[in-house]
Amino acid sequence: MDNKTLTRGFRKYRDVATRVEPARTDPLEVDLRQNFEKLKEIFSNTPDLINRRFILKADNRQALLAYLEGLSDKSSINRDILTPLKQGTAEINGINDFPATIGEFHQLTDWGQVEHMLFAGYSILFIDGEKVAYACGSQGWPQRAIEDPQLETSLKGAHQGFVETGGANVALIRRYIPNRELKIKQFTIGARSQTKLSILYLSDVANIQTLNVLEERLSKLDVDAVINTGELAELIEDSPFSPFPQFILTERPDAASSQILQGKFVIVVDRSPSALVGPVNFISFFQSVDDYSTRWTIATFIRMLRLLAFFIAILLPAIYISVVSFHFEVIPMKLLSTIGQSRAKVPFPPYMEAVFMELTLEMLREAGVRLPAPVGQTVGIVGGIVIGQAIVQAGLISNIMVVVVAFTAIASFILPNYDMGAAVRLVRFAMMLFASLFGFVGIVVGLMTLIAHLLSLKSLGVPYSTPFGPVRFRDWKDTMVRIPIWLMKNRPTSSNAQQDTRQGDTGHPREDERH
Amino acid sequence: MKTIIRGTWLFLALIIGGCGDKIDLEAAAVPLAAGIDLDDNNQLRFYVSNPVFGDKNNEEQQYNIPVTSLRESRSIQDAYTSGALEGRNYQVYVVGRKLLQHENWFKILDVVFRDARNTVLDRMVAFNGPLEEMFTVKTDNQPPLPVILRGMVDSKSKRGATVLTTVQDMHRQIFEEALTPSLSEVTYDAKQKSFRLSGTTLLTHKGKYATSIGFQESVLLNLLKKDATKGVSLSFAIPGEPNSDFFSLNRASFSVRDIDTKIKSSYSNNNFHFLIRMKVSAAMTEQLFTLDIQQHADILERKLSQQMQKQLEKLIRKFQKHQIDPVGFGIYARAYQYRHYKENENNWGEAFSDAEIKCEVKVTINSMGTVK
Amino acid sequence: MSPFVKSPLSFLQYVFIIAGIQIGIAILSIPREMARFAGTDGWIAIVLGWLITSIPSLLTVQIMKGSPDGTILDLIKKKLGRWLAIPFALVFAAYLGGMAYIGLLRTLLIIRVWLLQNTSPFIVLVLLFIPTYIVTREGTNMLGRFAEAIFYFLCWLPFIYLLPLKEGQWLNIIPILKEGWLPILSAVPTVLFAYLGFIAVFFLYPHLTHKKHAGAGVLLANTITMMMNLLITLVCFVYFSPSEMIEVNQPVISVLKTIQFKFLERIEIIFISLYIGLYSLSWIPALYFMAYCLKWTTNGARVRSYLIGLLAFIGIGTYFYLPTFNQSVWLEYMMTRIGIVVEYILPIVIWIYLVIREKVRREEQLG
Repeated sequence: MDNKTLTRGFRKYRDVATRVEPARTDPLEVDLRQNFEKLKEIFSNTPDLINRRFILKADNRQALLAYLEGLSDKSSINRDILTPLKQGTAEINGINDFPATIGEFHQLTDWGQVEHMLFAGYSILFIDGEKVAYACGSQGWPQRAIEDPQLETSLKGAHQGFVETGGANVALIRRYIPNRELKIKQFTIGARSQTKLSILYLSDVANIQTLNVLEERLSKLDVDAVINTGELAELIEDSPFSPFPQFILTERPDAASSQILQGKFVIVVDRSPSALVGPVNFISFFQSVDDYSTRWTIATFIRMLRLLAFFIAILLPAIYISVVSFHFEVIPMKLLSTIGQSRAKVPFPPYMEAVFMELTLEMLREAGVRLPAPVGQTVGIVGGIVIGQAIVQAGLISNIMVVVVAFTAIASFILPNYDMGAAVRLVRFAMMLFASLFGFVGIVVGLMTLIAHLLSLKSLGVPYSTPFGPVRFRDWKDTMVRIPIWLMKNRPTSSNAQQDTRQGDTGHPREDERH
Repeated sequence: MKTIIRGTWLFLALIIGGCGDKIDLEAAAVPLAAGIDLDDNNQLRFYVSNPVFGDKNNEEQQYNIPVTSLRESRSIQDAYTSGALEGRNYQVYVVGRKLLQHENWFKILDVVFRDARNTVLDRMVAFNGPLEEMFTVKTDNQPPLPVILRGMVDSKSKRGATVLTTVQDMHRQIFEEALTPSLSEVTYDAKQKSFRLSGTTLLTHKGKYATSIGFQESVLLNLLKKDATKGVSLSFAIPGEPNSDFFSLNRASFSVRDIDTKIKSSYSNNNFHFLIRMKVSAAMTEQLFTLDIQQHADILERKLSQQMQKQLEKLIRKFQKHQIDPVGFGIYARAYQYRHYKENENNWGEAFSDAEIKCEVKVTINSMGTVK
Repeated sequence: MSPFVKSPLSFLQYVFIIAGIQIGIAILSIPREMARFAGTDGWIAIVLGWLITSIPSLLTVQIMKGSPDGTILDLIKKKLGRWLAIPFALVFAAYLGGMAYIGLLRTLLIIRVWLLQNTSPFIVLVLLFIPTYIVTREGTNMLGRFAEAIFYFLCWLPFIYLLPLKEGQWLNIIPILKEGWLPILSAVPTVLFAYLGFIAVFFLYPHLTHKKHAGAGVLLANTITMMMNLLITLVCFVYFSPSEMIEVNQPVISVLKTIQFKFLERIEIIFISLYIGLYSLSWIPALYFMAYCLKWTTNGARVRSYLIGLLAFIGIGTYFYLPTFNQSVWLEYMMTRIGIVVEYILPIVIWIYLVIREKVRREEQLG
């Protein structure tokens, strides 16, 4: 491959002429020496490729074990491949009775397969005189231990989060749903990255049409590389121009499993510590795992609180602007003098004040996110003191504005989903613009636009704003309210599940004892 | 891409065209009290009290401006204030006694209703005296004028001691033929240097001053209008009880626990007849003479009923004398004697003054308090 | 897949679209007009109008039963041929256009009087076009969802009207029939304006998922409209005295001016803003149906391009000329008359024609 194509790589990845060479199909040779030459030719400038030549003890043939250092588990290679082959006396009789004591084993016939397997972390065994090579499953790469999820912490939920290995993530989900109907479809995406995706779903529950949509989108996908789940979400979402997330990215296996049980699809992307859930609706961004492990009355209260917070986070600065600079007649007398006095010294018009403060808040937040924890705290303190006190004393911003901003900030942090929180912040600025131009009229038209936009959105072809538009009262049981779990007999209609009713038959837990 | 370009155009258009109505709070002058009256030369004058937002609390700027119409006054007012004057936050609207002596003064207020931005919830107050006095008095150590006045009207009207008439209510009362307007009345107490709510001002149908009534009468008026909330308090002198030289010991007071007012109308002999039945259940709050309520509750009840009935009749006689109907008997007449009412619609005051009105009051005591 | 199946409408969505058009277009003017014609007895006319409206609206559904997979235009084309269908389509388009324009005009004038006195109506119109376009470009299904969402969002709004009642005077309403039936009957043609909009059935029917409930749906929509109008009219009558009622231009809004909370004064400002959402339910579907008619006439490909054209046309028109309040009232009177012809008489005529035609055809078959 020449360098030119590499440098132009990303911009023209759709261009057929410059794409990665098609997979090799040339067959392996019988002669080990020839194979070795070829291997060196293909993997030139690959210092992490280890070639270990040795002699089989059983029949004294020459053999070559090749693997990529760092992608393989060295102790496993030593223990399970080299030791039995070099010391064992068992003869090699094809793939079914191979003396190596390792679980996964494949027989390879061409160089394309060899290349693929090597990159996947297998170690390849060439034996002189055989026209095939053997791939031994000795993968092992730097791996993080399973930890508490960072973004979606939970009080009572499980404390295992996804890691960067697709296989492990699938296993984590399987632990929750040990059922034969849990199907996994695998895709490989990315011409260069060869990222493995697994779609997980319950085959007797999930809707087949949605699966078709998903599969079609994935198979049409033709990109250079998919590094992260977020990239994948952006590539397959329905409305790329919308500020709202159309998939849930979760790093919690329990959340992913409960979505699967509702009839949704979960895509696990290898090398990425978050799974993608679809089709989702608007309200599912307000649900968190903890809702189901707290008492239902409290969970309901918290749900309402979140919805309220959503509206506060979107509207409060806009309402402030339009009240102060358009409709101050709605302020009661006592508040009027308070606001008037705090505004009197401020040189900026309300909308500039609001935009300035909101931007400062966003900067503080963004600064805090990327900094290591101790420094992040300092930023918070500096921001809190400087903005809360000094700016008011200096007469740059009014007291009331600081209160409004603080309120909005807290409200936007209540939203359990990070992506939704980000969308809310963006929408807030649009609302502020509308409000500063047209007052309440602007806010109402802005809200109408927002509602219309949410109604027109779809996630994998399923309406985004169900159960509110189209209205499905039956699904309201797990939206603004969360009814007791023993009453949630049906799966949400929004996922168009084939099997509508959940399995099991528990009514009220103490029903039988009452009689 | 097309969407983005279109969006940009739209955005630009909105930015350029918007903002037309923006007026920041600090850039506006938001007077909280307004008043109109005639001065000594019979020139119409407009008064405003304007809070100044600054370091000091409760500072008020007060103006008095000669005008011919209120709309015109706005531009003149603007000349006095640092901001653009907005009539959106008035809390009280005061009318001077001198202006009230003239009919149809209400038409001056047209601008208040025609301009949709103006508030109509400002409490309308009749000032017993020249308005200039009110707007020049500096009330030290007291909340600003609009706050006092509104507080007075709101709290006293809750106790029935006056009526709560907003500008909107005034509009309704002026346009309702079957009713005459009534306003809260405020006087200035020069000795104590403070304002005092003195009862209710009653106007004729055309808005001219008719008469004023005090607290007790206001309570009765509110009872008749069925506007009184529970808990209003009445006090009566019971005749026949011994009295002292310097203070009256023959008084009994009660607060109304429950009230049931029924007004029946009929028409005969070319006259309207109204029968007022009032059932009051009372909780005694004061009884200065000795009477064993436990034993003789019926005596006290009877006496109270008599007194109340007497006062009611006196009050109604007063209305009839001035040809006013602040209670709205006309509404009953219209509802039940429509045809006859229609004949008298345009001079209801006169028809009402000829009407025959009977009161039947029954007071029952259902609580005598903590002492006998 | 047929476009009608692809864009399905649930029963409630269908009801809300129709009720939305009816309420959005007339809720403001009905109390005043009723007071003008029939005094405090005007509310009886609203009930009468509701009874009268049941007949043509049910006939409309009856006509559409013959066309489960096509709109009225497809039906006329099937029965009368394309060349006769085109004038029908143009009439419908013009009528719906008028309706949309009146709805928009009303909103603009209200905003101008009550909220933004100095902002150019053209700019406000451009602002209103943003949600309008987002909703209409998606088609019937979206209309339904939008109407549904707005209805649920604003369903608490009528209850606010109960607050002024405590200062009202119920005696204003009696005696009932104080001037006899005549003034009430004279108000009936005007009250029909409040029920205009069930023409939407002609265009919604093929999208309905449960077609057998179509008749019940249109009756339910009429009833919602009637209840809403009745409630607000009664509140206005109870609050304002009979003579003041005629004096006030928009009693429906003025009555809100008296509500005051401890934490919020002048709530009418917020309410008028929220009303924009309700009004939008009249012009948004009307504009869409109009664009649909035009598309159908010219065999055009996409409704969307017609929509953009229409919006641009209305926008430019408003930029140069905006009718005054009096003219808009006159327009409403004209609309009422035209509406009676298009929505009340036309369905009856079409229905009679279809019945006769069916009879003739059957006799021919027999003979």
